Amino acid sequence: MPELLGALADVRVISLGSFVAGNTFAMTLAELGADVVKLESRTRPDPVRARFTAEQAEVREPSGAETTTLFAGLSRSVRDMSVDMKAPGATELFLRLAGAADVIFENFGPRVLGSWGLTWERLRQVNPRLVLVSLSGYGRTGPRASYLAYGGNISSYTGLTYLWGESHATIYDYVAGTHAVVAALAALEQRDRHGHGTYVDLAQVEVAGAALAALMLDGLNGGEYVEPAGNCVAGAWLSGVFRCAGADEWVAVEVEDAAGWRSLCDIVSHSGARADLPPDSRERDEVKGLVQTWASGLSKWRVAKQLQEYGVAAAPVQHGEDVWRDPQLRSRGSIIEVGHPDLGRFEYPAPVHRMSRTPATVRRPAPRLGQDTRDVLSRWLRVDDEAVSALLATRLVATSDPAESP
Amino acid sequence: MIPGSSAGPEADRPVQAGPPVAGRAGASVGGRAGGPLGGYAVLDLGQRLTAYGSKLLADFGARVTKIEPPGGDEMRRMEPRRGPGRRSLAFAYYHANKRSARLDIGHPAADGVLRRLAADADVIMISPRPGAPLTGLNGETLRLSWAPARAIVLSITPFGLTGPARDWRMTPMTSYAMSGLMYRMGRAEGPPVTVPGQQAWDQAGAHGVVAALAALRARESAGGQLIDIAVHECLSAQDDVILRYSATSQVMGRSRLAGYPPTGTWECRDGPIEFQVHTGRHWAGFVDMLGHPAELSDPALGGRIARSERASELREVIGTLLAARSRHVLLQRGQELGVPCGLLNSPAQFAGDPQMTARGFYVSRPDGQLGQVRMPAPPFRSSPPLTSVTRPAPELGEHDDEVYVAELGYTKRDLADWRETGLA
Repeated sequence: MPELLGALADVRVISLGSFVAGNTFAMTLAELGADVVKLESRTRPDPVRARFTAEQAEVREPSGAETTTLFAGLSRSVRDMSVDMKAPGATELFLRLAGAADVIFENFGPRVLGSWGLTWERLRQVNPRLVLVSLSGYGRTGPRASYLAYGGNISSYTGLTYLWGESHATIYDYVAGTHAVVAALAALEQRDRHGHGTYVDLAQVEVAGAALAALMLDGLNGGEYVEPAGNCVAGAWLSGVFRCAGADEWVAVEVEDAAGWRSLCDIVSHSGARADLPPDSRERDEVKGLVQTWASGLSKWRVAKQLQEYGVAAAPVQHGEDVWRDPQLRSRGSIIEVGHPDLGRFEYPAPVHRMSRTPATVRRPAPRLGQDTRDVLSRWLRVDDEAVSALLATRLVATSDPAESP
Repeated sequence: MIPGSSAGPEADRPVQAGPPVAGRAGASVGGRAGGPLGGYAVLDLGQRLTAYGSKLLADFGARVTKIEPPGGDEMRRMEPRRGPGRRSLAFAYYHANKRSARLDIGHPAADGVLRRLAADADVIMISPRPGAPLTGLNGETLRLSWAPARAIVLSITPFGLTGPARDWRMTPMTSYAMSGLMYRMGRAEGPPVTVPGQQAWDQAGAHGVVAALAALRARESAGGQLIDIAVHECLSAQDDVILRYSATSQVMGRSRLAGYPPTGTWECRDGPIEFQVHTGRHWAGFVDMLGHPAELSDPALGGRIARSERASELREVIGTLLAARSRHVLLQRGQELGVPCGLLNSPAQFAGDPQMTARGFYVSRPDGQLGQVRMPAPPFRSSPPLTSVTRPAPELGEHDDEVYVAELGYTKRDLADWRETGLA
């Protein structure tokens, strides 16, 4: 069978994105079939190429560039071009690439693109149909527009850390990367209809604000702002995480309605339930105690399955190995093996966009730094081999081949 | 493989659409021309799981018709509720810009009505679940009998439409538990803790919109198709859960890694602050921000691996240095020096922060019952704008007449009959 073209086979993307959000954006579009070229410089490669702790093995590409399994998992299917944006001629080269692109993405600090002379005004002059998605922590306007931020800062600024008890480094990176794709695709629809490009000023704190919306509405409308609640879900008849047999094994349970409440009370032999009214806190605690006693002698799978048979929402709290073995994921082919020339073969989550005719697929392993420089210059800009060699000699661009780009 | 090629053989694909623009214009009857998706018709048969996805499509200008069970969508009962009509604020937020028409989609007689409802739909959103069957959906072939061939059918469910767990009943919390993400959150000695709210499910909605917009772009060559989004796959694909186990055979627990201070949260005298210090430049700025204390003068501390090896010592030293300072002063000075740092806010502090006010993120929107409801704006600021808000969330069945009588040609008498038979 011929390789399936993805749904976005006619879309060209330049990604200046890094970290989880930038790579999530690039990989999502690439696996949907877009030609996504990641621009990296040899002096400041994507930080997720570098290991974060001493326990991780150091892996180098033939060029000497570092790579990691984290990068390999975040940047599949993307192509890579190495450009030194501080070298003479870089701005002109970038503007030519922008002229051949549909979408450009960046998540630099606030002054970086401008310092290269690449303002939105300049970019739209060379390509009036261009979509530019600028992702930043706090947005490009407002008193905190200049702030540097990582995922953890977003989690803390938006109240999630306060509610959850600890800062989370990446949750809103994934959400922001996905929303950046949504914005880019909507802007392409707008372009196809009206002919003009769009500049999107996507703020992670606003994407997080949308994710947190349901928790904020009471406070926003004159009620109480939500307080930390652990595993007590607002509106549930009962919810909690209960210890099961084994070390650090747990099951999560949420009773949503009267039928579920009756079932749970049956299972744990609690007789006093007023079946049609949610329990008061005393009764809820009593039943929680009974559930804990019942669950502690059973495996988390057994408890979840039995509750499911009675129509109560419940699931084992799975850890990494459980997820890796998960029969549901295995039966759907949601875990796939992908090789990488420098890292070897590992299993990865398959693309989540399951489409019957144009499925998202892994197009290639994560790139070596600069591996597609020649091809992009040739296909996108029609630069011939001789001219590519001249560009390599000036070190404006580099490839992944150390003989060519020492 | 770059531009313009079509995807595979066309012969077996009943493509009923004209060129994309004509198709959109044809579908725009009763819709709005504005917005990137103006003229697209979306039929949303799901409830909580599809709510965020259809909200995004509606905010981009698609004409979204929400088909509600005769007793109303489950989100109408979500707390908090306000006013004499017990209006759910979540319903007002998630369902602004949509229309509401009633139909029991599990009723055997619903098939014919669904076929007419779907005739001009570009996207049909479904979320079948145990106890709430969807008429016309074949669980084996996954074909939706009444959906036109050119429609994009977008299913968003906890586990997808196949697999041994597909009929499990789930909530955002149990989805988070199953994903591998919850296991790592919380104190080591206590239970894992769920991410609060509905966000674990809404992420799948955003992924569904990605796939639906991609499918609409490909429709001219590929025709309609089925998209099968699983919350479980969207969540378990994050944070290296699968890859890390595959690569290292190690299970990541809740015992916090040593990390590399000062990355993390700290108490100052006026509240908490968070630093994210990763590069050598970040560290240099951090040391500068504190006025070059002697305890941090060792040049080896510039590397994050060196700091991870001396994490417990550093945690104590830095904790003492920060406890006496003001977080607002540190924040301003740190940012000037290129140190990624930020406030740790309560939800109220977040909502009232000058940045959110300056960008007008929280907006008051008209609501039929409550007058005004304050809610987040769509998180896409752009020039020119991509989103617009045009109508408040509908009352139950508010558009029954508009949809069934004016657009599909049923009579008022038909609607009365449906009410008698329980179809609507």
